[in-house]
Amino acid sequence: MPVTRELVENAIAVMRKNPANYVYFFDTLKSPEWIKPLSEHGFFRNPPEPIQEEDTEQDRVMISFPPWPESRYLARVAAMAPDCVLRVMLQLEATDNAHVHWDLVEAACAMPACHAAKWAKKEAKWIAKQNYLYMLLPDRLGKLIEHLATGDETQAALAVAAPLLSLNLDHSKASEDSEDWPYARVRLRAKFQEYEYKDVLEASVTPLLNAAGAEALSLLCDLVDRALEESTPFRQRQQEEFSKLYEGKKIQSTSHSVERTRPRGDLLDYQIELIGDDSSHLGEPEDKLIASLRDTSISLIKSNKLSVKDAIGIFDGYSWRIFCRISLHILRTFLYLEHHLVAERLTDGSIFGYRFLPREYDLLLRDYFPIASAETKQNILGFIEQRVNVANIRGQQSKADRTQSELQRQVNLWKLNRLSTIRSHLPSKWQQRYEELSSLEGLERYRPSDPEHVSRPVASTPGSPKTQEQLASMSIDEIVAFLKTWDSPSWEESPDTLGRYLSNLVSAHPQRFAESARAFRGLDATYVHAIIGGLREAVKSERPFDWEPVLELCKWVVAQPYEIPGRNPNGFPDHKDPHWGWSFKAVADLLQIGLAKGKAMIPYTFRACVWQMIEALTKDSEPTPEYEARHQSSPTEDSISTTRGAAMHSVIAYGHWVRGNLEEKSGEDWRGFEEMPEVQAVLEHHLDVSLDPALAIRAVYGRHIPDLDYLDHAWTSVHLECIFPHDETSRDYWNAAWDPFIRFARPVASVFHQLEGEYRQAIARFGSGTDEDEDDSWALQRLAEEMMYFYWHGELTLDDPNGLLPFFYKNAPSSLRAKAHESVGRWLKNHEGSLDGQIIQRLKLLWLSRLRLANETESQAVYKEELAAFGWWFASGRFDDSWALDRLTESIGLARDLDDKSSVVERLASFAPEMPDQVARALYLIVESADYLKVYSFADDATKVLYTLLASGSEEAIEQARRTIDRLLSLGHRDFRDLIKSAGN
Amino acid sequence: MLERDPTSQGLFSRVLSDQQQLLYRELQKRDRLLAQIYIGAVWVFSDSENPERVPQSAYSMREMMNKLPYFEVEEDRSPDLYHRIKRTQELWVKAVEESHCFQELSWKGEIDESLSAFLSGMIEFFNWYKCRPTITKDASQFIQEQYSASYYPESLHKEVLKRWMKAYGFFNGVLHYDKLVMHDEFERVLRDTEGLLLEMFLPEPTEDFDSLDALIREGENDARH
Repeated sequence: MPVTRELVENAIAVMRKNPANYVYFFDTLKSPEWIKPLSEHGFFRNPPEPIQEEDTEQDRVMISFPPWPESRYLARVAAMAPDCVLRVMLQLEATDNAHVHWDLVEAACAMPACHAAKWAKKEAKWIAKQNYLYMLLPDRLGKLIEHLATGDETQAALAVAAPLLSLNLDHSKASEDSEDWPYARVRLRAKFQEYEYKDVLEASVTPLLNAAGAEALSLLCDLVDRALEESTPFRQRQQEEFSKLYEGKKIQSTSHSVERTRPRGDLLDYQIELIGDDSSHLGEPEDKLIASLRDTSISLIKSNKLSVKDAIGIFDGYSWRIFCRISLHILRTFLYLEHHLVAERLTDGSIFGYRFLPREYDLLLRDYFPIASAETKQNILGFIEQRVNVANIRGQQSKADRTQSELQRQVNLWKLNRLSTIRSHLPSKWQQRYEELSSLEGLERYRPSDPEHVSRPVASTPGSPKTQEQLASMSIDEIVAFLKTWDSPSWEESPDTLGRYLSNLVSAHPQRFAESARAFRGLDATYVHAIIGGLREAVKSERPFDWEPVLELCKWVVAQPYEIPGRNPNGFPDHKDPHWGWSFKAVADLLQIGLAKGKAMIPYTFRACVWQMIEALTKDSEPTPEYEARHQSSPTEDSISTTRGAAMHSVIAYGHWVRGNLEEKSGEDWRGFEEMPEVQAVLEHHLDVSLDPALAIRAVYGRHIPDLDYLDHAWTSVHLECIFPHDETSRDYWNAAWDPFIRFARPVASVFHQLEGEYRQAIARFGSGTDEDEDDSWALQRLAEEMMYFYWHGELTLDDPNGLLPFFYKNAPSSLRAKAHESVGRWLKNHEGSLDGQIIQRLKLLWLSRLRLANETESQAVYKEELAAFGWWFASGRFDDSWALDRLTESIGLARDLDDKSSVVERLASFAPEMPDQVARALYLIVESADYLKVYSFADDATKVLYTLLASGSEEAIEQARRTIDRLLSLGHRDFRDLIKSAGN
Repeated sequence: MLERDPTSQGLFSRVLSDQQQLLYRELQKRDRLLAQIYIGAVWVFSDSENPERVPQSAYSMREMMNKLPYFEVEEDRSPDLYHRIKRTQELWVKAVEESHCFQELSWKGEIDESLSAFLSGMIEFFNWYKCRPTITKDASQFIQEQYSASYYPESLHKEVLKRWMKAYGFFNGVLHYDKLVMHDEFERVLRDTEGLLLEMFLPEPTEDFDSLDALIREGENDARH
């Protein structure tokens, strides 16, 4: 009795309840008997279409292909009922769903080839329309071609192979590249990933070759031809730029009386260096295709399925040069089979112009000439002598102004190259001719290249006249002498690179260079800059050295004028420093790092000398307002990259250095800037906008507010108003100071309380539309984190409704509130050691207050993101279990989502035996808030928890666990069904 | 304003069956107002002394079904039909009063500013009307969202939508007194609607898979014979 209508209707009634049931049903069917009755109910007709979603953040469109259980079922039963499945496949609505096509290809591969062929023709039309084949569909289509070819369905196999293996111009790349770089490689693109192309090509071609022979070769030729044709308009547009690489399409041959079409040049021709090369390393699909064409021809000839003559005949039917080159390669591979063809080809001047004679020609010449008859040799030598002359190369010149002698030199060079290829086999008369050519003026030093050897210029940076090892082996005096005398920069060697090597050496051996630092005075700025840079690296790596001579060198540097006579300060002539500015900056950086505590710190005895330099550098002109306007960088970045900015950072470092040293010596109370009035004077000077209008300098103050507070609390309190000006015209200055303050300054309570007004101002700006870029969002995040930091340290409270924290919660967007909570959770999780109970208590209060507000509101969605962050808090394990579990359940209940689910579920596993009911409720809510993919992140731990719950004996926990499993099954995680069985429930 | 949580009152377990309690909780997860409307429907229907319990309960059920698709949406919904007609009417009145084209109760001449404004308003109105949200569109989208975990064929989707719209039409007819129904018929539709919602919110594939296994076994054993 067949599958009855009633049975199908009952199944549909169950399927209707849930998509999971529908998927399960089709995935479980084994018999093809269901196809007909299900078809009568409308199944197997409308496959799901691909889903396109715009990802506005990444500015791209995401495409997904919903799996279709119905096609999966058809693929499974195709071998059992090929007629029935084929009928359904042919009647199916058209779809671009790659998943469905995958299943159908599987079905076709499972049925006899004669059945598959009927559907394959329909599929070939679909493939031809696709720009891109997604997933692993190309691989499966390769298998289909094999299935068809081995099943004597050659035409169907060829029909699928043609569109599958076709190459098209990559328009996006072509247009992008051509704008900036006319010589950019023309990109041809397969319908799928390039790395797959070779595999699919090989999988398809071998069976096609066996089944279709020459037809397979013609298919490959057609594919190359079409690919080149497709990209021709683009290349024609660039013909002029590529004139060095190309010849015209039609050039009247000078050695023949008839006009014939010369094979067309193309970029493939240029890309593929030698047809006979191993192509396994070549990554572009066209390379693979050419290699396949070559190998296929050879294979067909070797297996006597095709003659050399016929193969050459096929290639001659195509007009592109690459086919001629393959012909030459084939002739060389089967040298002894077709002598007359070889001789003919070697003396056919119409094929190639003199400039682009392919190397395959020289290789064929080299291999054939020794075995050629005397008559043929004479013909070939005569051809070489007469093929090229001044008249016929003039027309092929890209530069029309070549002199007669230049052209004659090229003619001679051409001949010399050919003759050198067969030099050892030349008759004596031609030996003399060779000697004569090679002794001509301009050619006497010429060494012909081996046609098999490829050498191409590779773009590289200039090198150094001395290697690092050579420099290391020289004495300081020798180095100085060399640096003073060496001055022959070329494109191969540059002072800049020499300076880099020197810098590395100084960094590795600072003491050796430091003790002789005075000797470097008078060197070019390029090297001085490099030496100081190397010393800076040494300090950074805590490699100490003698500072006195180094500071003397620095003093000498600071005393130099900015401009270097004879050098353009705006250029980079001969890879040398254009001015002394880079050295000034290097000194400022060295001092800043040298003043910091560490093994290589500057001794305090040099206070006066150090300050003298810092003060001088704070007067450097950069950054000027023009500089700031010209550069796209932020004031904070400018403060680091300019000399005055770096010097101002050094002022702060100097302050710390002085205070540290004085306190260490005297042990007396610190008296602020009274101890260093020079610092106060410089700080006040640059705080005056009329004297220093640079925003970058204001960024230095913002970045170092806590440092300033540390150096002189009273001064800082008085000057905060100046650092953060509130009038509207000074808004840029406020921003310049606030940005580095909030992003980089460490949170300090005393500063925080003084700056509450600034915090309030920053919070009030939330949602003003100015905080969209990434940098700003980082600053906002830092602000949110600081709110939390000061709260848990008791500096902020929830009690005052007008306080800063309620103000933050009121104004911050939900994503930022969530970030704030997340930062707390992460901190709790990562903090080592125990935590003050008061902190935990405050955090508990905070969470309860957020929950209370969410519960009281009618628009709970506003609280979703921030409440989901409780996942981080829970996972930290810092709260007592019962409280944490209750808050977890409450939070997910309101948020319907949870962060860090995997850690939470992992932790639930440890609670499950003691608190099964609470854990069961929490797990259910977590699963309910997850989608199919997210479940994977906690599936293993969820299994453990569920197993424990099902065995817990608690009725409520078991019931909840069952519901959770139901939820997981409905999401598509069918493995969880086994849990119920294995738990014996 | 939301009322007190009925679960804290004794009536909750007395009035609601286990299944209804489950549904109530599921609705509450989505929106407390939805849950409140639903419990109101059940509560009023359970009051046998209330002669209007059927239309009153139907009213609550229809409202709950109206709002369910929007339980999470906080969007500023565009003006409804009434407001759109009112705005178009204002443009009409202005055109009648100000347009030079309106003479002696007929329209003549080249379109002027006020008539142009009215005609543009009409275009806007009809464009909106064509794409306006409808109960069916809302319900269809809601069902799709509930079943978004994996692909669900349109034929099955349509059947669920049909079931939904049938229940909706029933409640709408009852509350407007277009349809006079007996208590037991109302109760049957109420139970069926609750069942539909529970199928969506609390799927039970463990049980369903077993049923499907049994059906497949039956069909394939027969097929093999």
